[in-house]
Amino acid sequence: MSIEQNKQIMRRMIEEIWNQGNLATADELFAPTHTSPSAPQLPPGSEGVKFLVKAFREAMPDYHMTIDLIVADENQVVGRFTQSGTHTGADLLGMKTSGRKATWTEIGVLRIENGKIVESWYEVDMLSMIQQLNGTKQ
Amino acid sequence: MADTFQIIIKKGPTPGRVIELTADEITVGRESSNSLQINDRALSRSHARLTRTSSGYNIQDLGSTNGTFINGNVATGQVALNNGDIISFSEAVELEFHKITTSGDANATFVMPAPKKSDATEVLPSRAALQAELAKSDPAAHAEAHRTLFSRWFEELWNKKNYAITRELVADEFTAHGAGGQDIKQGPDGVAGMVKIWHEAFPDGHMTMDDIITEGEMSTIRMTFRGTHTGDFYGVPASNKPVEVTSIGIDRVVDGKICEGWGELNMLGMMQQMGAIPSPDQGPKEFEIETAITPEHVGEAYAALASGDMNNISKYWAEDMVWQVPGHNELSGWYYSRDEFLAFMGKVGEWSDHSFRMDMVAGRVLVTGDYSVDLTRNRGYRKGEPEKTMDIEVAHVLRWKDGKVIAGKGAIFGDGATEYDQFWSRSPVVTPPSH
Repeated sequence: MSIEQNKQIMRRMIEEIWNQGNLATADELFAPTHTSPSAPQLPPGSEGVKFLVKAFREAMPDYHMTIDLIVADENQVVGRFTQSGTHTGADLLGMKTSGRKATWTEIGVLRIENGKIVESWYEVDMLSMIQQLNGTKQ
Repeated sequence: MADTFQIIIKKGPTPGRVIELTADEITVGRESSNSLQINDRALSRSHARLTRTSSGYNIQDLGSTNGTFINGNVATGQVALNNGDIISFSEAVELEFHKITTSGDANATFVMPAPKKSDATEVLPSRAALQAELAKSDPAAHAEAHRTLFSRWFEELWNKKNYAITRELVADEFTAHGAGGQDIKQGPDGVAGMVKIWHEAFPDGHMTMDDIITEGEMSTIRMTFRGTHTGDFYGVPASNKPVEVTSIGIDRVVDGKICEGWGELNMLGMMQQMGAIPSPDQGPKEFEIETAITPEHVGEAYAALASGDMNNISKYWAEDMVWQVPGHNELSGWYYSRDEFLAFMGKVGEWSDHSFRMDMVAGRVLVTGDYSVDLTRNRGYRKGEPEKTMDIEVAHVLRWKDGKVIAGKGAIFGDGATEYDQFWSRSPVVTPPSH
């Protein structure tokens, strides 16, 4: 795949799956064999990302992700993201709804084969997100 | 498929940086509250605003001191941005706007911006010209050069603790973004300072580079750090636990030096491995934090005390601990540090001719939350008066933090309190053995 095509997959994942909640795009972009070493407990294929998108969007109706940086080669594409949301909806990762807003960053790497995401790695500033949502950090 | 939009910083503090525009509204300015912060003195704190429209983005100056210019013309009111437009906030800060159109099929096309001539004497190279320039160099050789640089970085700095290497590999203007909340100072010394914190907390630590992805000036590295937590780490005292933490960094390399970095690491997972914080779904902190305390751990703390070995004692008894001795005798009252507590224990030993012994009544330790309660049988005789004896049962209530006793007090049952006072008094009265 070209560098630009790989970047386009990243942009579609963020914009269509995460920001618009269009889960059909997940089936289109993720290979059925996809796994993430960063979250081995999640099911393979597109089910893992769908689970996460549902959890965040149901917990934070205003959830939004912005791509700050994008870097790619022929096989992988990397994004640095800033995300934000207000916890007014469902419980999130065991945390009760608080009405608090959080803004946190993330870097994600997607490995792409034949136009499909086959493997992914994520590092998320979850500590900051949790501290903002439970009120221990502004 | 929808068009996507980018801004490339052509001139400014971070030239070459590409910003993907996805938000409906993007504010630009010198302050960190802006969604796009450009830290240059020419910019006002809140300088301009980009607003999403049906076909792209508009820009509007927010009453800035130096104004906003599009292709050299002053922007007044809302101005629609076209592909390839140069947005300038001063001579020192220029951005290029890109609209990227892709077709729905797999053969996506990338629309190059048309080369533009600015009114200024300097003609900016178009993106096409820049890409042509980039293509002249061999991308594989370029990627290999980055791989070599980062291999040295990990081996020399992280694994061999060669802090001087930062002067060779890190630019003076280096700035870090993110990094799991770590406050990394600017330049080579800032980076060395951050790595030193890790080395002090994990002296046996080792960093592995798992993968590197290079495009132009930018390289992304996935890495794993493994080590044993034997020193303070950002306020988390040594847990002696093994820690494995993955991270991803994006670094910009110019002229062979790292000049900017973005990083994320699994700080949450790390804190959980060190036992410093509970998982979010595991109840209140004060009850989670001391699950490491077991009846065996309490027994070990008493054994350490009996051993007299300070290294061993300091593993279980906190330096700033407090201790209350019951009764109305010379030893009764509060002891306000581990040193005072040990001095008290020293007197107990000395005055009892080291006959004093404290035996835990088998299995009688209760642990709940950050408290433990144990029952001991304390026996001994006074130095020089072997007939003056004591044999009492004492309950100790200990409060624990990070595996160490931070507070403790004793409670004596039945007539034991009187027996205890008489034993430590100077009275020659011999207490008849009560057992």
